[in-house]
Amino acid sequence: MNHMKTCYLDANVLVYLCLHDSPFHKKAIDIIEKLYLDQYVLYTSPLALDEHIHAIKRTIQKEKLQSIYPTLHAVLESILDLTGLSLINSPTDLASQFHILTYMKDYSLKTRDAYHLLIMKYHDISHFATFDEDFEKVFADGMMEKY
Amino acid sequence: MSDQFISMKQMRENFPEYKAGLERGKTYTIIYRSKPLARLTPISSGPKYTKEDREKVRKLAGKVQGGKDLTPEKLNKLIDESYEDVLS
Repeated sequence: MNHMKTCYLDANVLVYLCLHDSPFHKKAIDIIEKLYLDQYVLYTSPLALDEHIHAIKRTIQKEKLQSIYPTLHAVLESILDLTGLSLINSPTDLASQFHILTYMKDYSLKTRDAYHLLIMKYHDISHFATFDEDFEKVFADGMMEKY
Repeated sequence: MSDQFISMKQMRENFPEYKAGLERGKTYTIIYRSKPLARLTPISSGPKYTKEDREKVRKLAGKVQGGKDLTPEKLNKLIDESYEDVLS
């Protein structure tokens, strides 16, 4: 039996998926369509959704074209409506929290990004879809594969 | 493939290991107080996305106007601001 292919979606992929005028919008659509074509199991986390909602809120405030809360609701609904997308969280055991410091030290990650990595490692996820270059050391070390 | 017997405690403490096993198609029998309690089997060997699922992505995308100059670097800074919001 085949091992399922798994991919964690970073907040930036979700943000660009929603931002119609972004130069990265089409690329975000292409990534998700290709993940479906390649039959990946898709994951994201409340941590990523927190970042996503904040970035979308700020963009709406800046553009002043749409009302904030109805648009945020529609955006969140559209993300959660992606077929097969599951929400996962970081582990809550005490020992795992120390991995954060190791990841920050070894891969020069911010605390928040180290938590994303902990979530991915804890759930045995192989691929990471992101536009963030802060994870280059993680990819170079083979900890995760970039999608 | 025969079942692997595991206790509830093992399941709680090593869930990622068993989840990975399930994804590879393994089946587990869970033991509770020395007796078999339940059988844990994977629902399927993987997702079966359709053309409709892929087409749905375009329907769900692009709900927000704007973001023309939001590069990944600027987006990172924007997300960092959420911490400043709380601290200031």
